[in-house]
Amino acid sequence: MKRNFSSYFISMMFVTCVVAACSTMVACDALVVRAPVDTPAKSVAAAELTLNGIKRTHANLITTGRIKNAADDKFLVEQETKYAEVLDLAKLALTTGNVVATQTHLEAMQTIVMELNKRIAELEGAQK
Amino acid sequence: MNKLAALKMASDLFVGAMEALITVQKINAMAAAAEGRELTDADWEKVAVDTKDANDKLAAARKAAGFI
Repeated sequence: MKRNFSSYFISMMFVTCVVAACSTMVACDALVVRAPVDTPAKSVAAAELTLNGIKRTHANLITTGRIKNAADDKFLVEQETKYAEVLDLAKLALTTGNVVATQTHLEAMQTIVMELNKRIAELEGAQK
Repeated sequence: MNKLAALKMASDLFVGAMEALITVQKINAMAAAAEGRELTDADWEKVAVDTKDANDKLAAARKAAGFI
């Protein structure tokens, strides 16, 4: 009875891990694709909030030991910096009323966040 | 993997998932608050406060881990 419960418990933990990892990916996908924003300015603001969420996740990965080396940290920092630079360009395009340029920059940020999400999912799934 | 390690792993993954869901909620809240109008300086100020908070949290974590 005790052995069965232990096995059941461990199995449930693994299922929980998989569900949590999938939830992260689905939520990040929602950020990029389905966030309900209706104007370029709101899309840019949403993009900045998205970057902030990624930075918090990055911080959590460090504090939980999922990021163990400087190389993993460096990759995320480089992508976040790249995203921030494109975000600044999007904000500039917004102030000049250039909707097409704003949209182009938003699409570029979408590509970067896909790469970030991919790496974050790998790190979350990595064994300690 | 023992039970404690499995529990910790699940907990760590949930933290990451929750962070992403919280961000989605923030975006939804921003969109809902600004529905039918453009963003004001006050809206952008809230975003700026959130950005500073995220930057501070990441910097603290990286410094504690010795990455900076």
